Amino acid sequence: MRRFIRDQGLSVAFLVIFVAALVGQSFAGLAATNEELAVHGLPPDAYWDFVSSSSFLVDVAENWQSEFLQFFLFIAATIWLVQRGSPESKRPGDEGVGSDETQLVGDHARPGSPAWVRRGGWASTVYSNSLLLVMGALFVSSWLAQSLGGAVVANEENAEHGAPPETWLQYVTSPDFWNRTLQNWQSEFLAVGAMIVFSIFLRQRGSSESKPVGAPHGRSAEESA
Amino acid sequence: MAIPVEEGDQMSDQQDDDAGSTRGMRAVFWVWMSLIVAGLVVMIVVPLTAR
Repeated sequence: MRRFIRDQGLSVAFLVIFVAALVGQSFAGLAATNEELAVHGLPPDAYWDFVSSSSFLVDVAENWQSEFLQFFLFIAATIWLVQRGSPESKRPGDEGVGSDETQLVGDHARPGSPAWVRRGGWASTVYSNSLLLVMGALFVSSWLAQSLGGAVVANEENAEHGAPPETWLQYVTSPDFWNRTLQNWQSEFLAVGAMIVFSIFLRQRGSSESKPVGAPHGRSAEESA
Repeated sequence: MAIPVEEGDQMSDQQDDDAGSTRGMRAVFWVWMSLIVAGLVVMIVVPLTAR
């Protein structure tokens, strides 16, 4: 067990804080909703009713989609774009998908390479892009979830105000949908850009996200060792 | 004769370590993937079935 925690500590730690934050969000969201219901003289929501409501789920989904978009774009952009000096980037001149030799595919696959790589053909091609494909699928799915939940919430509000219901297509072209979407996207792009640029000149000793403390500013990740 | 035995033991320990780590990596991978997919299914199905 100790070895498991040592070897998988990063993913386990983030799993724990993710669950804690999600549970915290559910209680804070319930409290905020019930405050609003009380203002209107309505009875409070039960916990389970709230966490299974579209208003809670749309708040979760809109944050998920922006996170998956962030990584989808970052993975895709770092194939072809570089930032000199950033540990998040390949060095200038290394743009592109790399050779079979450097990527250990085709004739260069090794006995310890993943099975889909050793199999070659379409399996190797799909596996070569699997991280981007999965992040893209998760982004599209969570954005769809946001749109579906958002449409339900919008129609609940429309009903309260005697307004006609909206179709899903009307909702995804509405200001509310794009306001929710873009307010999340801008913060993700800001954070990624800041990380790329700040890590050129700033260091954190011991972090895999940083160059070694004494590495020159102009060196990218693969040159730092 | 002691050296080959120790090397064999070390090799065996290393293989046990690698096998344990591989199982651990697969475990965290599938926990994360299952959690995310289950969450997405809930977030898509709930609004679709809302009246």
